[in-house]
Amino acid sequence: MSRSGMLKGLTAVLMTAGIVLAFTYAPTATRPNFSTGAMDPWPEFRIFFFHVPSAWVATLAFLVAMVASIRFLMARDRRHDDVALASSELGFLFCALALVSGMIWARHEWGAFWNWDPRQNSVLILLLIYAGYFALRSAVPEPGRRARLAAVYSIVAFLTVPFLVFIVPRIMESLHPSPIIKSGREGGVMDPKMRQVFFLLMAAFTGLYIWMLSIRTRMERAIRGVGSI
Amino acid sequence: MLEIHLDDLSRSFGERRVLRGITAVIRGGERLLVRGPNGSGKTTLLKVLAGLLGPTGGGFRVLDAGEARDDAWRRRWTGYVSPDLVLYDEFSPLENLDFFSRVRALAPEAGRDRDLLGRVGLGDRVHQPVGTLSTGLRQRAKLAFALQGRPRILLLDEPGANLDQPGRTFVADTVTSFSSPETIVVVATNDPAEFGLGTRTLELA
Amino acid sequence: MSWLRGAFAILAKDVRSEVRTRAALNAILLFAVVTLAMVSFAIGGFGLASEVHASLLWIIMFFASMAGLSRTFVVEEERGTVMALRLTAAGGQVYLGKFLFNLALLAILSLILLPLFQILLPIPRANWSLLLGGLVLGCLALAAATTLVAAIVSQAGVKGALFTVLSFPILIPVLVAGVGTTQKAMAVQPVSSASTEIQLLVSYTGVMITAAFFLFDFVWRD
Repeated sequence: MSRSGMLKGLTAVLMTAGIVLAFTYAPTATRPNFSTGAMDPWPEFRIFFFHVPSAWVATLAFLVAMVASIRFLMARDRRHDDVALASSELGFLFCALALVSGMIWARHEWGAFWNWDPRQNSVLILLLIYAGYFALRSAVPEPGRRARLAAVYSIVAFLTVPFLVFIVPRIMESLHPSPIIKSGREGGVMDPKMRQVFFLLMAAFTGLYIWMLSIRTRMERAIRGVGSI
Repeated sequence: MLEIHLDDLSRSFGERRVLRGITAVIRGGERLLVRGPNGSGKTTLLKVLAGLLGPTGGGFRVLDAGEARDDAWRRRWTGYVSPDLVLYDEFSPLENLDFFSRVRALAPEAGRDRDLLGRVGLGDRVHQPVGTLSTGLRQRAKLAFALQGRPRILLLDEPGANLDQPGRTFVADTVTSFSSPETIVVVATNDPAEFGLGTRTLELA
Repeated sequence: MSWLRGAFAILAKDVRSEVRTRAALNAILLFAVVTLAMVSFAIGGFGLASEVHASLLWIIMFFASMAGLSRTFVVEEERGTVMALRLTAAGGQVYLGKFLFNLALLAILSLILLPLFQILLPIPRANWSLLLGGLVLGCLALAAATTLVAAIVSQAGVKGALFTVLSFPILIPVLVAGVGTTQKAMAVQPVSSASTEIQLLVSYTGVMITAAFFLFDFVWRD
């Protein structure tokens, strides 16, 4: 079996195992009940196993798109632009998944879909950046120019990420301090079984992203190939 | 000795291949005439040589006394005229030239721009906004723009467009005076009257 | 340094054009004044929390910027004069000249907006050096980022809301930091309380200008 075949198989196995184990092997999370003092079961926490890997892939895809954009500008090889486009599409998809799963969780947890939590904001902003990228691409008819401008935007947008991830949350903290009780993810020690499943799904999602990226990239290359005779 | 080497120069727009692998050497003192039917790539070739478009395949080099010259050098020493070149309408020819002389970092020289405008036949309209000039006079202003830095590479795309006879004579004289080993002229045209301007012809199919 | 002279020549040319047509300035000021008036009608009578008050200022600044800061590039493309600039100018000169032009537009916007703001939605008391300092730094950051985006947008076909769609996510750090400094200024806090915001604005401007110098030629040249 070829190497890529093995990786696809591995991803499939990891994903299947991960999904099953997330519901069976990983114990139900618990959280403190502040009125009774006991630990209540917290089954909804399982969404965490899917929400965080989605957000991770969305960020990874953005990084890959930026690197591909830089390589395109330096070599002017359209294959890098194919990667940038494919990665941005996947990033957008996983970003939407992360946002929606986050909102479901938030609604269930705190009664509101939106919480102005810095992480929710970052995911939304990432989504807006992706949307801008696609808006720009669709506004430029000529393919060479389209790739070039989109690449520059991808890089510029990525440069704002350090500010968004590290500094902006601190500023917003000082503007509106957040509630003391936050998600169980902060500070709490995760049960080792939960941690195993978590990392399993992180690997599975990453594998899935790579798999989809290669398919979409090849698709784009084929579309381009047919176009130019 | 100035040389322009075209190495398999190609330019495509999306799927449309306009320039297909042109390989040639243009030497100092040559006046290259580029001819061909509409859509054959005359304008595109000149745009690539002017640095307005990049090649999508192959490339070209400018060698001056054997040394390759970079984009900044080419920008400084190239003069370009084409029908779609536009100067700043609201400014006069003199104001336009003054602006471009600063951008080009030309050493300030009293009266240089005025003299140039006089030579192209705009001596009595130096202060009139370019937007109010007739197309023929605007063409002369464009010629002044191209000649301003005493260019060593002169790229003329349909230089006689909109010009009256004196104007065409001026163009012919200017082109023929560009005949030293240190200068190159490329003229793209379909006007038979201008075919005589070149020492060499490149036919684009 | 002749390179700088070229950049300043581009600035001067844009200024002279603007003085004659006033197109960009009109768009910016009109937008700002109308928005300010609308907001004042709705909530002028009520006491405003400093967060809301600060946000309003920056909302107006942002949208007014969107109304006019892309013109400097778009106009050159529309009129066809880009070609002459491309033939003669280095990319960095064009960016610097137009960055300074947009900065000048923002300066004029601020000079007109702030007094009007004070009249219609009065700020009762404030640490004025922090407020004004924050506004200056914010304008620098706004100009640095929007000039680059404007160059990108001018090359695209259909413009429409593209400038806003592309600018907004990139400008969020600037807006958050700007609101932060203004809000703290309105709460009469010392300048040191906004040190994070100020650092963000300064480093953001630096990053954007540096990025522009590396990336501008890719936008500007085919």
